Amino acid sequence: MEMILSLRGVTASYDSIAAVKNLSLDIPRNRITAIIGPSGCGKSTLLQCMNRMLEEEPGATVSGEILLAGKEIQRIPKEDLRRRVGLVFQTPAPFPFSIYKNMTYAPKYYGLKDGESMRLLVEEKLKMAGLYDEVKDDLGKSAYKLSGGQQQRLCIARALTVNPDVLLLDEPCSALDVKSTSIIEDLLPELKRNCTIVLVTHNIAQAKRLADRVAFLYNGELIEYNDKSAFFDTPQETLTRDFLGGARG
Amino acid sequence: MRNAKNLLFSSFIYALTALMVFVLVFVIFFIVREALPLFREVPLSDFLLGQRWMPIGYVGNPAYGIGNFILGTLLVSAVAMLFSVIVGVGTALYLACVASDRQRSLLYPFIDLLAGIPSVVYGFIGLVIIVKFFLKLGHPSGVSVLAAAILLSVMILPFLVSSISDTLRKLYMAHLPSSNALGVEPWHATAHVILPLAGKSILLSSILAISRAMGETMAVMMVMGNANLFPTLLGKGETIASLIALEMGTAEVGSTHYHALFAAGLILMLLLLIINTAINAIQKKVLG
Amino acid sequence: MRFSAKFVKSWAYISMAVTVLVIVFLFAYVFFMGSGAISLAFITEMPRGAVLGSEGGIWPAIAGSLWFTGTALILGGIPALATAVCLVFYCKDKRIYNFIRSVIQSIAGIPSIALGLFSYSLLVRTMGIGRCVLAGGIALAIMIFPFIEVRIEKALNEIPRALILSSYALGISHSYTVTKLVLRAIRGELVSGLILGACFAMGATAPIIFTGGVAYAAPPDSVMQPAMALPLHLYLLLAQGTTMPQVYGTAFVLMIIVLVSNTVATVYARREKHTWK
Repeated sequence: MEMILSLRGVTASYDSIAAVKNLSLDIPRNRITAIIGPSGCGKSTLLQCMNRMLEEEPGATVSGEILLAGKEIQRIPKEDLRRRVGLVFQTPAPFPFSIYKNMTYAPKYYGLKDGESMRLLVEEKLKMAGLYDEVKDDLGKSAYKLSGGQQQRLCIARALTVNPDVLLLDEPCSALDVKSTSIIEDLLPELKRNCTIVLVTHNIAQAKRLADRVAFLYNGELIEYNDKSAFFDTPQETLTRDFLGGARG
Repeated sequence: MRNAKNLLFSSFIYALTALMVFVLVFVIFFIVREALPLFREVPLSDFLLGQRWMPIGYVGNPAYGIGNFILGTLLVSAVAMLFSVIVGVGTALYLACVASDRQRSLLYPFIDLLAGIPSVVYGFIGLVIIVKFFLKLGHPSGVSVLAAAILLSVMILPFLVSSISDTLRKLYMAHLPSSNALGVEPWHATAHVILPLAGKSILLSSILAISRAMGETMAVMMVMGNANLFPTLLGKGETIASLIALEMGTAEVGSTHYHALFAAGLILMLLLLIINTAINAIQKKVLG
Repeated sequence: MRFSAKFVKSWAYISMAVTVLVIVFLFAYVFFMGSGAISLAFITEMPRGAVLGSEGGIWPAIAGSLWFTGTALILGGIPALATAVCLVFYCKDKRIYNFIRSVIQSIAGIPSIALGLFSYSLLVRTMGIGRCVLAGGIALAIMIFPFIEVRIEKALNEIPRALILSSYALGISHSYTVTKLVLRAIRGELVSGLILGACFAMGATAPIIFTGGVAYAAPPDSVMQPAMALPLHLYLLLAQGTTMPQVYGTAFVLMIIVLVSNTVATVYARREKHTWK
């Protein structure tokens, strides 16, 4: 299996307090890798290391090596890296524009001018995010008028407009209701045909439903990392067993 | 290309900011520099406490004492603040405790209109309404510290109302539910819980309003009479700002008179700075 | 109801009534007294008369005010926008931030007459550019700079950080994020801040009284010429001791400008206001 992201001894700290400690991990291409663990275990921090978004946090520092398709990400210009490795946040954050303008915001930046190809791109990505049928008649509507679940799918669609190789999802469903959650969960296995997905979640059942591989983080350290079936059927570590059993949720 | 654009934009932002900060620092530096030569000729205590201001020595020696102007500035601002607080706190109470959201959304911009009226228009209305009224009551000239204070109280009203009503509204939203749950009448709660709790911040807002009032030039100059007298409510008086506005045009650049006007401006700035710094410090300490 | 409660209640109602009455009176009085003087000729003609301004119109004062305000808005408004953006998005060092903040606060505390004094002695006298729109406009620009900067910075800080981070996460540069997302998002506050800043500059007399405002001049052709200005014209007419219809007419024009610009600014800011949901 081809690895798209490789982390080697990554440590991330806020004001010199380590949130991720000396962590190594390989993420396979075109798979869904779930990162689970209790809140505060460093999942989100780890995710933000992967496209250098952590650098935007004041006082945060990262050390160690992260390779994207074999290339150290510090050597890739920040902006190129983030185009290739997209990130969707926990709470939906649509821009205060229309749905259509939310979708064209990034492609315009990357130089797409032609109206027709823009329209096709918007349609394609909205379809991929499972939102197109709900909004196709009213693309000029303000994104703020959408429901929370629709907003989150718009954010996923927006992240897809730049054709990323990897999509990082930071607990994308934790702010949503059950129905929106299930729509998004149906969507992810479709998406992995085109890109690699790294999904942070504290919901074990969600990881079980979606992931190909599962990593368990505890206190900033990688405790266990394995294929889904092996991870859930025969966990090796006591900590993992306790977490899955709910003892340390 | 994109990188070039980004670099160009950030350099533009940095350059403009640096330029502006430089200009602002230079303004402060310049005023201080032009003020200091005065103190080689006039001792600071004579300048601050002296009551004779005679920049051109027609009779006797020139004298540069701004004691009366300082007192005039403080008196007119303090009296204006008193008037303004009485109406301002009441208005803020109405906005915080009575007005519906819709009323509030109309009343706030309406009251803010007061802040937009040019100060010469205030001065003009002060002349034709307040000064005329004082004349009718038998005041010899109509112009006085009191007339200026009344006018000034209207000018600072919007600042007082907006800062006090913010505080009152927060307290009202925080305490009313529990007081209602006890079955206490809302106005009783307002009188006995909310107003006392807001006391300190009302005091701070009032002092801040004084500092606003002290910098006002034109309106006050037009109705206060502009005479170098020890200020009394019904007598004429003159403020530091009026002094500068009235005499700058006639002062020879580099003369002692000129430096004295800058020094007067510096004293006014320092007064404002002391008040504002003190308020900031108290605010941090008391209100967290 | 106990006495204290009754007292506070009447205090609130009476004060609100007083405030509203004062505002209505100020505008109604000027509009009522000034409407007689207002005509097309008053707006478009030059001032004339033995006592200058006692006949004719105020056109050069209107034009001059526009010149002063425009100059102040360009020299004060654009740096205010840049500084606000710099402080919120570019300035990473807390000490530099605090330094710039305290400089801006000090300038906001300087009485406008002192800014006039600065411009007069540096630009008009020492550098010898003479009384002109530029010298007055610079004093006005320094005066409105903190006013506008504070409003824009407040609006910028209210934008949820998640929006900005979402843009960065798409690989988009700071400059594109600021110009296409941030400035568009605060458009309402930005425009209303600039309008109110312009209104503030237009009404100010003290900063231009020695620096560029004069009793009589034709509408200027460049910023290097002196000009008339509405508030200064009003002041000078009054200083001659008469209250003629022209004085009321000038006040009328100033009050209309205040009323219109405040209304436009409020309505526009409301329409563009985001609740960030």
